[in-house]
Amino acid sequence: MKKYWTVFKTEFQKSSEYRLEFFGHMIMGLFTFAVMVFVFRAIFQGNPEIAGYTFSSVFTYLVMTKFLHPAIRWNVARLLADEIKEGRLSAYLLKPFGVLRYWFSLFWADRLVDILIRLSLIVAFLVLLPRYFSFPGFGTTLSFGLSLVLALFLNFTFNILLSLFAFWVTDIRLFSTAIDLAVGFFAGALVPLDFLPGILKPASFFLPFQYLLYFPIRVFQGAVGPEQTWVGMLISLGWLVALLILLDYFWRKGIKHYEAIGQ
Amino acid sequence: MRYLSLYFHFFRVSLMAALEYRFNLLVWTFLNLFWTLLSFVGIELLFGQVSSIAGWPKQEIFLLLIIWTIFHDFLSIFIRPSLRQISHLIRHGKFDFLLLKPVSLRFLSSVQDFGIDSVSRFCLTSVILVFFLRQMGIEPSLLLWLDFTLLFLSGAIIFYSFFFALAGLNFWFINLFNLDDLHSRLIDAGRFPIDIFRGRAKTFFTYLLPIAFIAFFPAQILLGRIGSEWVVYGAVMASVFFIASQLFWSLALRSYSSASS
Repeated sequence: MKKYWTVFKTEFQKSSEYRLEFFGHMIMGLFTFAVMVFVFRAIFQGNPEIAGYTFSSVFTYLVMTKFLHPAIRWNVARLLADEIKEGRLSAYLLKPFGVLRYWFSLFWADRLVDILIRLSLIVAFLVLLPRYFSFPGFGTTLSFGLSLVLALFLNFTFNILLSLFAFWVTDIRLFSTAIDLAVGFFAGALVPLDFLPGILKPASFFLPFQYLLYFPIRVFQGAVGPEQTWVGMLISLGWLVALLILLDYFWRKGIKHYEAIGQ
Repeated sequence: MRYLSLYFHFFRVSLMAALEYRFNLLVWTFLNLFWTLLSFVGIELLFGQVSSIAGWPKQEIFLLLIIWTIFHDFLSIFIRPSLRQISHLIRHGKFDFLLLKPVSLRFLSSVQDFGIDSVSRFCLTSVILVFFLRQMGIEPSLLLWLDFTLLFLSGAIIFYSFFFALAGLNFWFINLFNLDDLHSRLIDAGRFPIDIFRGRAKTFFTYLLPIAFIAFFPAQILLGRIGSEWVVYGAVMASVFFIASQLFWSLALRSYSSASS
């Protein structure tokens, strides 16, 4: 356990070194955010409520989408896929540690720095724009925190599953695009799931993607009752277990297939 | 003539390099088309809830998105790949090689690379534009197409100049954040009608950082809402941006210190 803690600490320090870069990205992200706020303000002009949302609740939704961005990032998948593709995975396999546990430590260190920096964004919005963005109370924040942790666990599992394609194909971009599509529609990254028409909306509730983004945001907004919150978390946990079983299966298959090309 | 021949030479080299990795080219082409489709679906979802955005009905928003895609790809083919290289060349001390060549530095920095993977979408959306306008009942005259093209090119020169000036920041700040990301975000903002902005924001995006030139003005001229005087305004803005970027670049270049060579 100590070795993974050391990996976590080292990666945390390394990621903190690049905090200016994180901030740079966040500031640029704020520009896109501001444009989206203008778009939704135009949409809500003359429409006080759309699909159960007011402009204020959409504003909170957009802010929280920015905050939860670490839960829909696929950087770990790209990095690990490169290690597999270039044959560098051999170096990990020869060392006395679990490869996935090592990447798990790297993942959490990276996400923690990201979340901490994004927290400053939340504080800024709470202070500067209380009319649109307000503190939901300690109980709701705690529920949100739990759903965020589950979202990050799910994100890690998806990242690793995505990277495992590199055992069989040389380029995983098509798969990462597929997951981007799934996240765009079924996690609520493009628009809140309540905006989806016809069968897409009920379909989204049977998929794991909403637990990456939509569900935690709705918990934060207090739109999900206490009982539904627990049910949602249990379903999210169920998906996590199912995906972990899938991950374990494909990891074993992949390792057998691994050829250490170039090493 | 010499510059024209150099331009085509660089383009040919980029084309040959892209064709070496045909599968990659195919994948990127597919992904580009896919993201365009997704943008249209996103708009469709919003229009499932409302009938217009800032007074623009669905068809006109689609027109805006088609023009935006053409503009985006135009920059992705002819402008952004070379500008992306500048920070890399400065950071690794390879910019010296450009300085030593007996060709205009600005020209050389701006034509080194081309984004061949955006060519197919650029062609496809250009054809779609013609058919879409016909479907909207708009048959632009030759003069209107000329006005549209001139406004479009003015926008391209404005954004090329702005991004070129931004690239000059690399002479001062070696570890500058990802400028290409900034380019993408600025261009992305041009997908929407300028009417969504109000007050100072609207003035800013119309006159100071005119993202209105990306798709809004070209769409407006095709819809017959603005006249040829805006083409003149476009030409003036393009000239101002071009000259200002040259002045800024020259100033920044003085701070260049070779990193390794």
